[in-house]
Amino acid sequence: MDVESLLRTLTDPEEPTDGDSGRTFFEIMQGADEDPRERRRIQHLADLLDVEDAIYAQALEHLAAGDDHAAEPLLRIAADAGVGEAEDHLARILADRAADAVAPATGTGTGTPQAAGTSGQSPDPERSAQISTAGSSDDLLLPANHLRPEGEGAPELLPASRWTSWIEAELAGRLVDPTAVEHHSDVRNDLGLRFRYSTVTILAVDLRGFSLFRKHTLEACDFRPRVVRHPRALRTEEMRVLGEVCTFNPRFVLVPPAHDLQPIDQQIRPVGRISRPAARTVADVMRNDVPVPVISARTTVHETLERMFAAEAQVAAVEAGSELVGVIRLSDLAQRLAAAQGSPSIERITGLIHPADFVPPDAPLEAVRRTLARDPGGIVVVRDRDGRRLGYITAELLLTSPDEDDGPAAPPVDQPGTVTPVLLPSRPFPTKIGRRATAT
Amino acid sequence: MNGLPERSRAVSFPSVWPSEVEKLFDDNAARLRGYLLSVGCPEPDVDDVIQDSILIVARRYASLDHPEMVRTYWYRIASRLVWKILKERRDRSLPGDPADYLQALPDPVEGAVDPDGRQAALALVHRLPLRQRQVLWLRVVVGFSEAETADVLQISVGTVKSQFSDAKKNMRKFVEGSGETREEGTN
Repeated sequence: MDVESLLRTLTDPEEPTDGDSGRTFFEIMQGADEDPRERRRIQHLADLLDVEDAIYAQALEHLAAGDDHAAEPLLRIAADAGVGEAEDHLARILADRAADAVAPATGTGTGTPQAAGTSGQSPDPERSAQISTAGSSDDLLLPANHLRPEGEGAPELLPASRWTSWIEAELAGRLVDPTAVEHHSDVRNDLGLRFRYSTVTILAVDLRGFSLFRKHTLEACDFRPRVVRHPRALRTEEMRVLGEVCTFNPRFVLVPPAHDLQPIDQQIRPVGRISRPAARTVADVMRNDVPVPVISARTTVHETLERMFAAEAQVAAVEAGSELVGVIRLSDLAQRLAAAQGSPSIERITGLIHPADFVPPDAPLEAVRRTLARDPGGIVVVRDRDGRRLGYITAELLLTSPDEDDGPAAPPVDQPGTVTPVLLPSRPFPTKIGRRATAT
Repeated sequence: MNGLPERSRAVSFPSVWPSEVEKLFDDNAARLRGYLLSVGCPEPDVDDVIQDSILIVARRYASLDHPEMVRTYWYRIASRLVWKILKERRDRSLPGDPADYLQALPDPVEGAVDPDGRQAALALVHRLPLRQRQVLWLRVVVGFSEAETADVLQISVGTVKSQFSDAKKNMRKFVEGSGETREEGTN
């Protein structure tokens, strides 16, 4: 029997053999009419589907605009919900990322300097190594006249866009235990201390806030004795000292090989035996009295605005059933209102929903800082393992929460703790650093 | 159809069920049932999916941009609900795959045991990857056009074409006895 014949046998729907063909239309509708819980359940289900569709639509918009980074979290949600081709789009983004992590094949193996173009392009073996001055975030970064490491086992270079932190090899070399680092023979001295890249230690110094780690960094740089100083005094001096050994440049250097690719946080390994006090956690800062009105995905823009104005809120939480599916920002509503030329908009908010960011109460505060640095107008939801909402954190709360640094003395240096490196934003070093400088 | 009693009118549901939705149900419920089973919806859940999805359609009918495409809308909603069920089952790691129930079916190559070929065809279709299965069923069995199929599955028309072509190729391989089992990514 051929395929077409076989498929034709399926065109007539098979009658259930037990005689039960399910409820009739009337029975189904009557059941929903008479049971309020059933109505609510159906309503919530429909709302959830709408939100998932809206998230997928937003992801497609980001993809169309070439913003894979913004599309990825939305695609993850949509793929989990089985919407459209979200899985395929997500797979492509992840595949592209892995491909970008691998430096283009040189093909010469003779140590000829190679230039690097944008990720995914094969380098021209005839060009000399040079820093790309065009400023493309995907350019590989090498100092001028630097010979690209080649040969078997040579470290692979990653595009700058893969990193948001900054490494200063010389600085790192003074902090790590030298016996724990194996030097790679292919790396020239002008890049600083040579590392074996499968075990490279990446250090990033956060100059936005005090950290004991930074204090040790300063002391290690110029071998000053460990003197407890006031954090504010450190900040002025550290800029000077660090400026002598570091290159404050948003473009940075070598990174681990492609097979070591992991999210930036996981690639930063603890450094030596530096100890610091336990970092503050989310639970120290979160508030549960932050005005966050709860709305459904079917709420109109106009109604949402009214509720947010009444609550004096900047953000509203979108729920489908009891599940928080996203947040709406006042700024997005304002833009939509402006587009409607001030007329009350009866359009649903589904197109304006952003995925919500969740953290557990014991998460380090730095994780929240990074999240809000990407989206200062947003909100981070604190929830426990059971999914219960415990509170919220906004950028304003971070800025106004009491600071441990305000004490008269710096934290003691000998308390055990885990080093939690923080990330420097990938932009030129600002000339003035405020005490609570927040990336925007 | 019997009229609905006045007292059962609900605030959030239309006061009068659209006759189009009733006709949609009467004309398509059985065929939708076959589609849901073909994409792996567990037998005990099929009727629930049909009921929930038609309720959502009835709830939203008045606000549909294209009421004339309510049939694809129903299939789309039902497909999404099946996905949630299948995902929930995967997350709970429940044993058993719907296709396992078809293991007792006769070898489609023999043909002699199943004169009308229906069961054999079902067995072959279930060997396809999920997306190919969906496209093949919607195109051939349900009779949707490429655009309608794309609307149901929320994919591009190009994907529909390629998946349909791949599905037919695989089906031929199965019939010829050289086909492989389902690829990864299926339920």
